Amino acid sequence: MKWSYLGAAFAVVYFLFPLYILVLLAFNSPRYTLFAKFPSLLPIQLTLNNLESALQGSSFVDPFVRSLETATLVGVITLALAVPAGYGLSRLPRSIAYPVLTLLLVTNMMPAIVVGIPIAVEFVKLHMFETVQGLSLAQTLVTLPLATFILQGTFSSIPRDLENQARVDGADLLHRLSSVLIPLTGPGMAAAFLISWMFSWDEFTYAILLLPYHSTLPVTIYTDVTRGNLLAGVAFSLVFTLPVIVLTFALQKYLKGEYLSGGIKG
Amino acid sequence: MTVELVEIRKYYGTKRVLDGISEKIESGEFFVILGPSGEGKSTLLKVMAGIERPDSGKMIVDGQDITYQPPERRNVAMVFQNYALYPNMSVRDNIAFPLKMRRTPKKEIEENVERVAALLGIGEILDKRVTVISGGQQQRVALARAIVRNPSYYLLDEPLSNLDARMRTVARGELKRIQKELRGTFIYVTHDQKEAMSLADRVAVLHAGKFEQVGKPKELYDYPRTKWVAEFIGDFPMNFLPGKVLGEEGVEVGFRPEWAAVNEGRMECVVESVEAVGDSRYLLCDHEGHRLTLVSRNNYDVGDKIKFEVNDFRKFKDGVLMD
Repeated sequence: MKWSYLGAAFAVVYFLFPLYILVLLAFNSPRYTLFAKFPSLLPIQLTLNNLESALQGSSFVDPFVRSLETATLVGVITLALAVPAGYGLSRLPRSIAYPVLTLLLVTNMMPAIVVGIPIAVEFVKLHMFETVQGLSLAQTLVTLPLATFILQGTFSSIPRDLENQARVDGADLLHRLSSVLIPLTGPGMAAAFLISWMFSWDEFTYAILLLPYHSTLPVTIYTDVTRGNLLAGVAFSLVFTLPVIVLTFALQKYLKGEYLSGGIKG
Repeated sequence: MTVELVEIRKYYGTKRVLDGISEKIESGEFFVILGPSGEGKSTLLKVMAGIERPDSGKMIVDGQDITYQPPERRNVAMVFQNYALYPNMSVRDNIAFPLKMRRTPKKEIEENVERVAALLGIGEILDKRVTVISGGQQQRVALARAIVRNPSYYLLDEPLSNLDARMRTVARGELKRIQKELRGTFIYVTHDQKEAMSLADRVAVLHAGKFEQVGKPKELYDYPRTKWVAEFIGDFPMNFLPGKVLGEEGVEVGFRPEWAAVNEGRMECVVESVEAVGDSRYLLCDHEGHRLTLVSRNNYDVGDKIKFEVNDFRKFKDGVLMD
């Protein structure tokens, strides 16, 4: 028992230490961190100047908004497609539905860079290169199979007789979905949305391939860091993690195994 | 409305679940489909609801062929075994749902919900969530949702099987009363022969994908068409003895426990166990290797030798009742 606590403590320190350094860099005067020969591990001179100067530059707001737009768009497109797909798969016999699900997940085994370059070429022709919408569509490629998997499980867990009852009560497919089935898939929808949103939020490969000039926040942070604008990178990184933390806490109760496993039993 | 089934067949792979079901159910009739579990009762009901399509055969309601109409286009009401209440809605919204789907004016919905709620004594729980009410109340809500509009026919799939024994007796009487009040065509599925006998105007015994016998409860009890029905109907199965015991060659004779008199006659058997039902004693006993059930007012002990006489019996040849 004691040893496992020790292990947990080690893991916590191991994972939180970089975050701590990030916070230190953000709020400590750069004199004691970036520009010091032996950077201090303790806060010495706290200041908001770093954040202020970084966030005031126009280079922050635009990428941040683009990231928000992309992530939300990915979440919405994914749900809009995964709800009907998940419903359909849940109503097919297992012998058909399971191979289809497996094939869906196979698409995620291809590296984004392999898929991304041809997509970029096509998008140039379609005038969708360097657009938030184009990037969102490409990222949906990854999130849609996951969300479909989650939602087919959620729909499968709703008793068939409930839908039969709704049919007998005179509800056509749209009414069955809107009045009975979708209200019962709340947790699955939340999980699917969150997974899609978060994936898009820190997605890098498609972003740099399809939206290279005015990109999303991860790409901006990368260019800031690599081009010497370290302080801005630090400040952006900090702000970058905030929505993730907020969303995770808000939807935490839906992120349990039972929802993500999609209700599939042996 | 009259409901007519014509040669309904349904296969699952190579398994014949329904093997040519034909019957005409009269308007306002309480028709019970009785059969053991796994004999396709629910499948038949789903075919009648339009949820499942038959592989062949026709279903005619009030002169109209509706075999291939989906349930949402049929005017049918159904109560499922597990009630299938919408867990995301209140009791009121559950009952109102079929009316809402048919675009009934709001005021009319309100009136109808109140009416059936009063009829079933659930007026007080209308605004509760269906997940917090008791099993008996859930059963009433499911029934209320079925009777809130005026369907051509009602389908009920073992609606009382989830209730405890006492509640079931009460609910049975209530169901019969409501059916008479509505003059609705009720098609009711159960595996409980007692329930079937007490509710039905007519009972259809489903066995091996066919209606083995259709008739009034009394008819089924007194004149079971086959040995199988004779053994399935009744609190205790019908007794069977080779015909020669009673002087009939080449046949089997069957008799109900109450058709034999104990302590009379010259036949003998040994009591193996005694079961008390009300003030009667059912005696399970052995007569020359045949298991029999007899009934008496007097108590006997295990191992007692008793005399009995068969006063009335039916003759069966190859498992089928002889005229």
